[in-house]
Amino acid sequence: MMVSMQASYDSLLSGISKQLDLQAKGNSQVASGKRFTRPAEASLDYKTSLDIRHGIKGVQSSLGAITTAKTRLDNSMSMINSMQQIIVRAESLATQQASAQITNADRQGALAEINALKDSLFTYANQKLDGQSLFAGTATGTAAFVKDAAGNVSYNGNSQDRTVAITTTQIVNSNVRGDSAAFSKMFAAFDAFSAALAANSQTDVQTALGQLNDAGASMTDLNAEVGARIRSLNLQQQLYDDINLSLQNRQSQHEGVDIAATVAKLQESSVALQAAYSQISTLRSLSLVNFLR
Amino acid sequence: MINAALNIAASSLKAQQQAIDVISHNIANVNTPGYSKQTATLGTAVPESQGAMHFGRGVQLADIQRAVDPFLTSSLNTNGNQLAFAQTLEQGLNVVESVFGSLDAPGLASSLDSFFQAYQSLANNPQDIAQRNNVRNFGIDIATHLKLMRDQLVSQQNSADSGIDGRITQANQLVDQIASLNIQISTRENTTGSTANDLRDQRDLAAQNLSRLVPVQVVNANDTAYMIQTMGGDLLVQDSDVHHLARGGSSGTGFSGVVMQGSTAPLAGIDAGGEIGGLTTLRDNRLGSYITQLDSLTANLSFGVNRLHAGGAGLVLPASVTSEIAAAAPASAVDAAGQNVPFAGQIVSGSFQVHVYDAAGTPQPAGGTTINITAGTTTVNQMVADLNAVAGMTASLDASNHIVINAGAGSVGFSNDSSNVLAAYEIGTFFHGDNASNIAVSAMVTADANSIAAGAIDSATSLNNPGGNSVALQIIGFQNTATGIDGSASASVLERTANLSVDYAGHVQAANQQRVFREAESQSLTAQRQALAGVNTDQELINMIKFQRAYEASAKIVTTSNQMLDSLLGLIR
Repeated sequence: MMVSMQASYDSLLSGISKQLDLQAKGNSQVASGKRFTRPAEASLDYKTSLDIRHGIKGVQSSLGAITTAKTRLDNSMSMINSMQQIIVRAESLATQQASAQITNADRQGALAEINALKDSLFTYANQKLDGQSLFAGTATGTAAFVKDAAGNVSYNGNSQDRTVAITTTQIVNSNVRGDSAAFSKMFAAFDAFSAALAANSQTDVQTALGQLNDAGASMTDLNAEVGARIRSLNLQQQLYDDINLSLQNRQSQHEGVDIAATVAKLQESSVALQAAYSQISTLRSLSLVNFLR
Repeated sequence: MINAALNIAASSLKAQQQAIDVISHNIANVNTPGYSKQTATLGTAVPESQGAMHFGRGVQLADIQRAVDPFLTSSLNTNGNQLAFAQTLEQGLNVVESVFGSLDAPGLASSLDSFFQAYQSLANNPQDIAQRNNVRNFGIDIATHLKLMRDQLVSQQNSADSGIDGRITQANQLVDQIASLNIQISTRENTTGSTANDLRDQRDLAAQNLSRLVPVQVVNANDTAYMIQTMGGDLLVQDSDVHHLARGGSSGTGFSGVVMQGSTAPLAGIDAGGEIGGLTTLRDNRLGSYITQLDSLTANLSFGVNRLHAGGAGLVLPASVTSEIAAAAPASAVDAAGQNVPFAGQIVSGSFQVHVYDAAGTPQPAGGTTINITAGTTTVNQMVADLNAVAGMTASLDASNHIVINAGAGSVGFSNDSSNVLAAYEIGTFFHGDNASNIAVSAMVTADANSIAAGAIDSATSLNNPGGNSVALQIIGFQNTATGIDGSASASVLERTANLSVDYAGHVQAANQQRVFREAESQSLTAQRQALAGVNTDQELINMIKFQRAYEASAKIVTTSNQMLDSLLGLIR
């Protein structure tokens, strides 16, 4: 087959075009640090990238949700700790006031302190975080507890828990509800202790002491339960941190370009390109026209 | 006898000169597209018999032949047709690449992720107005993204469609040119008896260019008859008889098809190759498919979210609610096709609760009122009448038949819609619209982010708890829920988004591979044609030297013969 000069030029041009494509692709990969950036470059790999990125976003959302739940539970636990300390003080007072040597005047003096402690309990039980009641269930816009004219405290929230979505399927409670037995026992014990002191009844004080001990135990149980939930969240946070790291690594491995290999390919292509340019120049001089004088 | 030598030399001078003319013509056309190398064929002149001897009488130009291989010509036509198809398709697909986003620029998948992520944050902090604004903004972002994508795809679809018009004009011009060349070839060849090489080259080139536009087959039964027809057998040109292409009929995608002028029947096989085929495939099977997928994704996203949202309640309940979809036939059933309600088919027999509150926010009564809907039976008028009968509020149809519910100084909310009627009529929905061209965040949400539903009204107490997030949890779960609301194959919105990108990428890669393959084939065929019919200047120059030397030798014979005559005449003097 005779090869015409035109065919030689066409062949070189085609090669140059391919090498320029390789150069453009290599430059893009080096500049972006990625094997591909557009769906047209790698369809299924692109989908995998979307999946990985979706996963990373989901994990980051999960970590955010865990932080939200932990913040609420941490604040709730802090309030429960404070309430426990008040109960301990009340138990101490009740132990003193249960003695037969305590006079009525002593008991009325203690009553004042108990009422003050009761007010503190009421304040702690109505604690808000970011303007939202901690212990009112999902009725976060209202106070968790209200006091009637007689000073009796009652739960004012609802029976729904505040949930946090860690994932679309993993929903956890992020609150402690004020209608739990620990709160009602606590307020009932304080009411009983107040009434016993007001009535100067040693027997009733001793009964109230028992109620306070029971309320304290319930509050401790509640505190332990919240602590366990926080611990569980901490473990989950650790898990999602690990998943996040793993996904970030996978993304890097999946999308990242092997710079050394790409630069080597670019260099190889560059040499081929230079050779093609040189050959065009050579072809130009390889014509009989140049020799016919 | 000396005269005979002179005549023979003269015939040689003439023949060598004509051969050099052919070489000159070849070199002149070395870069002319479609030109086939021509070769001068020399033959001996008719000999003269003298007695028992036969004396040659010189040389003459017997023929000028062009180098042509019909099979190669046919292969180039086919290759040109398929190459043009792949190039057109690839170029058209590359133009819309930005529509599908990239890893460096946020695309639809990223927007959807952000929207559901924002809703997840809202579920975790339902009272936070910042989270509500975030959800609204990402909702607007999705709607804008979907609209923009659709606009760009439709724009490119229209561009492809108008490109078909231009190609049809070109094809008709080529058909006219071929018919004209047929006449010229016939006239010249009949007159001279020799082949009209240049005209045949021009006709072959025109046919090749026509093949690049539309799939055709060339039928060249003999040296005189020449016919081109479409792959479906429709005659385009036969000798001087011409049939033009035109727009007409329907392609089935809302665009007019390609027909033979005067006919309405779409041309069979028109989308099998060529630029017109590439543009048709791009318009109908690629861009059209993406638009359909985009609309399907939008429909599933819009109704899927709305169905959940309509059963929830925002932080603040409105005093009045107006449906964003108007009933076309209020006296007909709520799900009647004539209502022009896009998702009327989703309405089923069921009920919803309406909760009315006084100015102080106290439910009137607690537990709300149940409105029953029977698919195919309950009319819009009936539903409005039932709503109007609820104490503490009024319900009516406005001038354009939108449902208007007004609680006066109080407020109103809805819950437990098992009939889907609220979502279908867009009462308390997040999105408005049913496809990518009309999707938007609802007027209610646009006006006040507090109306975004995170929780739901308690059906027993009618209390709307601000910390509730039951609806938000359902909505974030929806992103992974497979639905086929519009009758499409069931898939989640995230899968639909990924599938759209993968579909597009697959099409680009296929078109790219096809183009690369056809280009390689084209290079091979072009090289073969160059070898056979291309002008090699070196070869032509060598031939030129050969004929030049023959010319010089003939001239020498003339000189010698002249000297011989001089010698002869000298004897006489």
